[in-house]
Formats: sequence, structure tokens, C-alpha cells
Amino acid sequence: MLYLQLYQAEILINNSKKFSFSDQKKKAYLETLSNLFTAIRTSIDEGYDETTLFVKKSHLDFVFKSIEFLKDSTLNTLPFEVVSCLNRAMNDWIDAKNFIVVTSLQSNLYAFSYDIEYARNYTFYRSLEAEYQIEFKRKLVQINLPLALSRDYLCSVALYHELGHFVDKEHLFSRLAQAEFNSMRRRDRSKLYPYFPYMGTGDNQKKLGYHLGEYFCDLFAAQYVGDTLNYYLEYITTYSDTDTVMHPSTQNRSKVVDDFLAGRYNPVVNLIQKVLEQTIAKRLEIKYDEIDSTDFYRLIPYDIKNDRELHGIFNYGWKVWRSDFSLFNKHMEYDVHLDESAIYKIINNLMEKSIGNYFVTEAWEKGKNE
Amino acid sequence: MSSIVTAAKIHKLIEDGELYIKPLLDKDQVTEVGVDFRLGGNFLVSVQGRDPLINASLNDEFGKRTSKHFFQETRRQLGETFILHPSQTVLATSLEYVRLPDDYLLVLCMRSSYSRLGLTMSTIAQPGYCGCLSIELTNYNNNPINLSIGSRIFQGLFYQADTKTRYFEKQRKYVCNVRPEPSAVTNDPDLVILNNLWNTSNKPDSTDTP
Repeated sequence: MLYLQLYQAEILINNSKKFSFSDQKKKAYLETLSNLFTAIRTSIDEGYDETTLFVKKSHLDFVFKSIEFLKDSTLNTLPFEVVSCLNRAMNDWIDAKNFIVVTSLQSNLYAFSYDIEYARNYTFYRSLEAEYQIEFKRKLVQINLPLALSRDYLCSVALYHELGHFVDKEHLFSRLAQAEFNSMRRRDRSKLYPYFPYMGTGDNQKKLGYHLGEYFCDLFAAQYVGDTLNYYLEYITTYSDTDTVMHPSTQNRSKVVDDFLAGRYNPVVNLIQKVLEQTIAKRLEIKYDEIDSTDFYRLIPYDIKNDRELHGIFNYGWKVWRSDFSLFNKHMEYDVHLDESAIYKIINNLMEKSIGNYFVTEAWEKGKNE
Repeated sequence: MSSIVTAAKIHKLIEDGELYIKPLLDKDQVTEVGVDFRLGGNFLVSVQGRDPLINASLNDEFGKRTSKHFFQETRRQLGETFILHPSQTVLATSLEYVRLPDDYLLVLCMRSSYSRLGLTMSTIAQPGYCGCLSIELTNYNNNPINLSIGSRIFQGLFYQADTKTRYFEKQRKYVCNVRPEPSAVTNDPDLVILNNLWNTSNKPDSTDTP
């Protein structure tokens, strides 16, 4: 069976030679991957025991998965704009030069996620180095977006939450918050029970870990996109007051975000802030500016001035979407006959162009100075 | 009588916020008699589809009413290139987003350096238009042409109309587009009348039935 997988991988590697990247880092990664495949092929021998077979199979699985990631990243229709915004946010928390962010468009309507199966598996990469003397200087991280919503910038706020999972896994905030929770005095801990009700009457550490992770990611996203993630959550969960193993109730999640943004006391926010300060000497803080403009109502993109406004464009788009649509008539100074469907497209188009113009102008200035 | 608007007036319109063009990466894109526009990174490339023809009528006798299956989307970033093959047509857009004043018409044509390569386009944007400028590019050269995203490939000439118009007073097919959109030709109301005419004259007559 190992040989079957080997020959399948060989076909994929051969096909990958026609991939065309605009990014040299991806090209270099593919070359390293090709070298790894050659080394695996050379090393495979008859008479392996079960353990060695398992290890070799895992190495070939890595080749498969990496090619799948890179293949999707050659797509001609990548939403550069939203990916560029996320990269800016990632840079605030992680040394981005260690990673190559690739993008995949999925058929599932709610497929907003970060696939970091290998990105943080440093032991795995070290095992490749030890066995084949091949080093991957950068790791692949894949952003998944639903194909149908790849131009829906309103729903893209969910990706800031997903980026939070990646940052959490990198720094282990939620795991450390869980340890902090468990070491608290009973009186202090009881303040957190409204957000983890099952911990007051029992002990479900698995659920606690998941929920702390979700609260962290919500707060992480709120730094950049304010309470707009709440709108998205309300839309997909109908503002549910019940939790699941993986997620706290939407009502609790919204409250934590609202308290954070309003600067109100909230024990979950305090717990997470404490862990961040202890581990990386950082605090969660609002990293976007509210955009106060009539530009979208006048059907023109907003002229983004800095990264704070770049993230603020998501909040602005939602604000326009939730506003009274007669404002379009008011600012255009006549009845522009735009129905809701047209306004939905207009907001997304103007968000895309506002972001695009920011990065184009920045790239142009950089190009002039090189 | 309308006349071509020159540089000083164009600058004034931009400064007064009546004419919106962004990003204007270089001020000298405003020339003596118009504005040089740059090639944007979004394309709809013509491909051969499964349908037998692009049907620009409502008459289904020869095929379905669609043109979008004959175009495939592709995107590029500033500085990347796009190869346009001989006889190929692509829908592209300007890099710049434009909102025209209510009394200025914009006429678009290739810059001569690109016309000389065998590229053609010809289109207008009506007063009050909002969006990136849609252009249809065709390569009449016998050889493929490699174009840089962000290069100034076409120019716009402004003409002042004798009165202001309200672009959105009528239902519009193309509103604030930032990527090229396939033709919405079959939304033209005239085609309904023309198709009714055809149906009437070709309706099977009961006397024809054996």
C-alpha cells in the first residue's frame, strides 16, 4: 500500500510543476517539497516494520496535503483584499515571515477557517530534518473561505475570529487561561460561572478549554472588527442562549465582546488579559478606527489612511448595511432607486475597492522607492 | 456646444469633489486633454463554452440566453502581467474607480502606444456613472501581447453635456462595479418587443397541423 501512495504522490508532484505562483516563497516551498519527495522515494525499502511504515506514510501524507494547499493557492480568483487585511492583523501577533499563507475556496457556505494542521507541528518538521536533512524555512497556513461568499466582505469578519485560533495555538493562551481558571480561589472563580455555567455545578475541562478558546478568538476579532462578529454570529445562530461542547452561547459571546469594546468590567476579559500580559506582555486592545464618512452613501470607496482604518472598513460596511437605506437618496440628493440586493452588492464592491486602493497605493509608493 | 475638457478644468473638478478618480497614482495621469487610466487586475476572459453561441437575443431557437458561460474570471495584482492572445477578447476594468459629474460624458479609447500593438477598445461612460470603467480589449495582432497590471493603457476624454442628468433615476444594469461584469444585453426591454414579434410571426398555426 505504501508504494501505491508513493506513486500517487509522484503524479501529484509531477503535476505540480505546472503551478504558477506570483509569490516566490511558494515556488521555493514547492521545490523543497519536491526534494523531500525524492528523498522519501529513495529511502523507501522493503521489509519495513509497522512503525516505520506509519512514519513513511505520514511523510507522504504531508506531501499530499502540502500540494493540495499550494494547488488552491494558484487559483485565479483569490480574494487578495481580505487576505491582505488578515495578514496585517497576523503581523501584530506572530512573526509572519515564518509562514506562507495560502487560500482555498470551499463549497460549504460556512467554511470560514484556518487550517493549521502542519503549521504548528514543529516536531514533525524536525523529524523531516533529522531523517532527510531537508528544512522547510516557512510553514503553510491555509485560509478557507466559502466559494459562494468569497466576495462577501461583511461575512469575512468571521476570518478574524479564525485567525484568533491560529494565534491562540501559537501562544497557547486558552490553555494557560484554563490553568489560571483552575488555580483561582473559589470566590473569584464564581464570578466566571455565568460564562461557564457547567463549571459551577460540575467539572467539564474539555468544554472549558474549548470555550476559553472561543472567547479569546471573539475578543481577538473584536480588536479589529468591533462587534460586527456578533452580527454574523446572531445571523448564523439566531442569538442562541444555549451552549454546545465547542461553543459558548451566542448571548454570552456577545456580552463578552460588548463589555470589552465598552471598556466595562468583565471577568472573562480580565482572565484573558492577565494571561496575555503574563505570556507575551501584551493586552487586547481596540486596533481599528471608527470610520465616520458618507462616502459609501455617495457610492464611492472610502479613502483608507492607515491600518487602523483598514480594519475599520469592516465595521463601516456593517454600519452602512444596518443603516436606513434612505440615506443613499439623501446623500446622492435624489431617489437613486437602489433596492436591498443592489445595496448589498454596492457595499461589498466599495469595501473591496477601498481595501484594494489602500494596498495598491502602498505598493506603488514602495515600487517608486525601490 | 460641447468641447473637450482640458487639464485645468479636470483638476478643478477633482479638487471640488465633483469628479472622483481614485487611486490617481500619479498626478500627471491628468493630461492636457483628458486622463490616462490604468489597467486593473480583474478580467473576464473569453473561452469556448458548451453552448453553441452567445445569444444576444431573447430568441432561444439557437441556444440559451447567456453570455456569462463564455467568460472565465481571473485576477492579477499590481505589477503582474496578463497575456492577451490573438483575436481574444477580454473584459477588463480600469484600476481607478470613477464617479463622473452629472453633466460630463467620458469617452474612452486606447492610448496610441497600445493601439500600435494591435489592441482596440471603444466605450463611453455616461454622466453620473459610478464604478471602475469597464473595457473590452481585443488583440488584433497575430502575436500574444503581455500587459502589465497598472500600466496606462487607455485614455478618457471628457465632454460637458448641455444639461445635468441623473444617472440612477433609471434602473441601471451596472452599479458601482469594481470587477468586470458579463454583458446584461438581454435585459434590454426592446428585446422583449422584438422577441414577441418573432413569436407572433412564427407561432405554429392550427391550420398547419395535419
